[in-house]
Amino acid sequence: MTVIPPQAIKELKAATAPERVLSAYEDLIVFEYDGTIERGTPTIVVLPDNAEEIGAILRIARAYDLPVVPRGAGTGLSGGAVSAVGGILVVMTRMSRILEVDTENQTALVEPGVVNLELSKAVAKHGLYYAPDPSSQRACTIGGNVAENAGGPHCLAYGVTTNHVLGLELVLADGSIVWTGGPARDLPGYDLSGAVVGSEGTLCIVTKALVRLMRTPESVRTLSVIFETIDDATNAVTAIIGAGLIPAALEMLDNQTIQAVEPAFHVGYPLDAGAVLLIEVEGLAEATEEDAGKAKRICLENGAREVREAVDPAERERLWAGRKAAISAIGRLVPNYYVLDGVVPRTKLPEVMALVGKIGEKHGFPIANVFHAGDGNLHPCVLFDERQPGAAQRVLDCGEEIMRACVDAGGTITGEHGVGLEKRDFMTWIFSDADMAAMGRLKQVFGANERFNPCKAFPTSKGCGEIHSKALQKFGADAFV
Amino acid sequence: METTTSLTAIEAALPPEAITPGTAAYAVDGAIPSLVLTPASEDEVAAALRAASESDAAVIAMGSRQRLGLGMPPSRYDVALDMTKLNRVIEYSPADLMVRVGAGMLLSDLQRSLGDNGQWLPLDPPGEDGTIGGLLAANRSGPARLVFGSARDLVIGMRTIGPDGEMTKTGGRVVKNVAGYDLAKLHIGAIGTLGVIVEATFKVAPMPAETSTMTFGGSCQSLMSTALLIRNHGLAVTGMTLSAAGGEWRLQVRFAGGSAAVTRSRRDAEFLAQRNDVTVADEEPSSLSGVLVARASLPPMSVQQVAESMAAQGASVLAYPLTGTVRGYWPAEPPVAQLQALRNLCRLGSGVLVIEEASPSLKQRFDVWGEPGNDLELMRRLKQQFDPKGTLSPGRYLGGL
Repeated sequence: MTVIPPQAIKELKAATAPERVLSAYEDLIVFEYDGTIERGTPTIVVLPDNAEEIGAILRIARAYDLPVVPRGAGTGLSGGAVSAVGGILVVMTRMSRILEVDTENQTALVEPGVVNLELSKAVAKHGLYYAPDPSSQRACTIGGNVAENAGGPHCLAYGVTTNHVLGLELVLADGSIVWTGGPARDLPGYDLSGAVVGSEGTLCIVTKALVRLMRTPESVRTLSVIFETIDDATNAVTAIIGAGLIPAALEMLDNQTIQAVEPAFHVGYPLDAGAVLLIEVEGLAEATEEDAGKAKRICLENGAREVREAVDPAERERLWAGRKAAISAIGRLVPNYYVLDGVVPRTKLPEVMALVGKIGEKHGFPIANVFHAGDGNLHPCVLFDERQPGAAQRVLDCGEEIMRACVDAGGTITGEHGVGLEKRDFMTWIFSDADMAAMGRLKQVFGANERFNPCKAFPTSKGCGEIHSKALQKFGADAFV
Repeated sequence: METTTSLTAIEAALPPEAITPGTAAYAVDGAIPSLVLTPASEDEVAAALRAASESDAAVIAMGSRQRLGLGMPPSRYDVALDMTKLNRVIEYSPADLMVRVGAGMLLSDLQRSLGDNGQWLPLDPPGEDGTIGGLLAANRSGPARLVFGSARDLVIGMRTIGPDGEMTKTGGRVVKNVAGYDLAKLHIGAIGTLGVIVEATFKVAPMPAETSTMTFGGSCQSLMSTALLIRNHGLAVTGMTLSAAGGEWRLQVRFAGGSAAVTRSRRDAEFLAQRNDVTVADEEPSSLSGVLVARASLPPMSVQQVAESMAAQGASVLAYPLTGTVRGYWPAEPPVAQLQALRNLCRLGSGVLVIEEASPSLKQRFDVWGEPGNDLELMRRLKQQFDPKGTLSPGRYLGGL
């Protein structure tokens, strides 16, 4: 564990405020986990108020050669905001102001601690909203979304975080403050914002984000479709996309998930259904009328037992509540669970889903599936009981095998959760040494050495080896996918 | 401009049929290269770059050579790397809405293959048919950006080769992928200064059931208000073009989607236009050219003033009002003071002015990129890391990179 010299603590307090520097054990444990299985206790927590303070913190960290980890709300699903080797945890939640809303140009300038859903709420009166909608949107922050390039159910039609970020204010590891991008697009020079989004807090700390806002659609129609089998449901997904229809969202829950969600949310899903497909279409009333009809027809052609439509906003809310809190509902039923995030080409969904089930059986774990079917983005959720001897290690093995299956099908190891601590060793499955050397050069560009958010996103370097096994001591916080 | 002494090592690196002497057709800002290399494979691209770099030669990669006017005149230029032979579709999975193509493929050829499957790549710079690599390096886009975004939003994977001949890959072939840094973004719009794009993977889109356009005439101001009203009503619009030629302003609106949505959108748009004293016109905006081409990139609310100002200077104008691109085409080069005034106006409107086409002499008097921001130091380090010897398009990019 990293030790922080008293002089460094004194300097951190002087650079911020004594009450915003936390080092008592009971204060630190609040910050030791994120939304998944990883654990790591920071040596000290600092809560800055502005970019200048962060600059000072990073200069102190550099002077004393201390590890630094940036953190938002801690809802991440790959350990990116977990303090892997101790050191300074820079918690951004105080910087939560919406600085500017430009309704005409449809942009907002926000601090990184702004909660995703709060931004949409704040601009709703202008008929605008912020499109990326991770399931944790009631809690997660824009800064964290930028770091992880967060997605969400509606990313099928509108893209992920990177497609909605116009500019960023950054604090570099040397403490300097830099702007990239801005209110105009195609600025001369390299698209540094594009490289920072999704860099998992390993290059710099984002202190302001200029984001695009979108107009609330005139009409939204939400269908919930009941299928006998997951195969029928995935075939329907392929057929919908194949017919040239790209819904705003196309989400699937399997039977295991339905069993968890229905008792908790009373959405009305039959407990014997093989799968539920949630389809949402948006746009002009004429367009949603046509698209909803088309989607319904295709589902029925592909063996749907029943197609229901949300008749009012309350029912729509309920359907989505069931989806967005599906993993939490699973958490009520089992002692522990482990959420994965893999992507496959949509057409490979049926075969990969079957394989996921088989891998679970082989390792002796039931797997619940709730996922962004339209994107081919899977979230298998491995259910287990950590009290069983050896279960934790077998769960990791099971997860690894599922990730391998995604990659073998032409997919990737993460669609929206990030590589983080969890999957850094899988990077070699999809990237060559030369690819990762090029990425390493970007770290050099930003002057972010191995003390800047250590042990994340890239294959293990020395001193990082034991984190996973420590993490296994505890499992199963509330997670959102 | 310096000349390089020995290019024999480069000639030895490729088969003879891939090597021809430089000609005016490959000139960049008047400079003619000593050699033109036309590699037929990724391996040959790598060999060419490695040999060039080892010989301290400067290389400019190019496709259909339409946007070589971008950037400042090169500080050195020895080898033109003609990428047009890497022109195949490598993988296309219509059901996955994914296509992988070689950088030398023409956009029109790609669109034809996609069109056979009822799909398209929603990248539509009007009247242009460049290679995929060129379109990405120059970051060209068109009206479809309003809905589909630009190259940065459509590329899901990329392969590039650096001056050391090393091939690197970023992204993949699935639409959602956050593994590794998104290096592809850095190559888009970088006019080949960080690496040579050899392959790109795109997400493609289904073609809409119905497309139709309406053209409106009126003042620039009334057309701009109409454009914003149409946006605010959420109509089924997939592109808008604001143009001026010979003092006449036009707003062309492209509607797309199902038949009922398109019909309603046309009706509502006409109603909104009438409220702004805008009339339906039948002229289509013509494709434009000029001796000097300047692009302003702005927030939408600054578009009108800059577009009017360009027109007042005698330029023809083609703009995408809602995504903030305004291009001016001048029949003769205007005085530098006039361009400076325009750049100042753009800056006041939180935007920039980039000269995309001009004589080398004007470029010497007026920096085509304008004043860099405080991220220039990061960009310098980026260039240093990815092209330490300055092999790739040296001197052409922002801040002399």
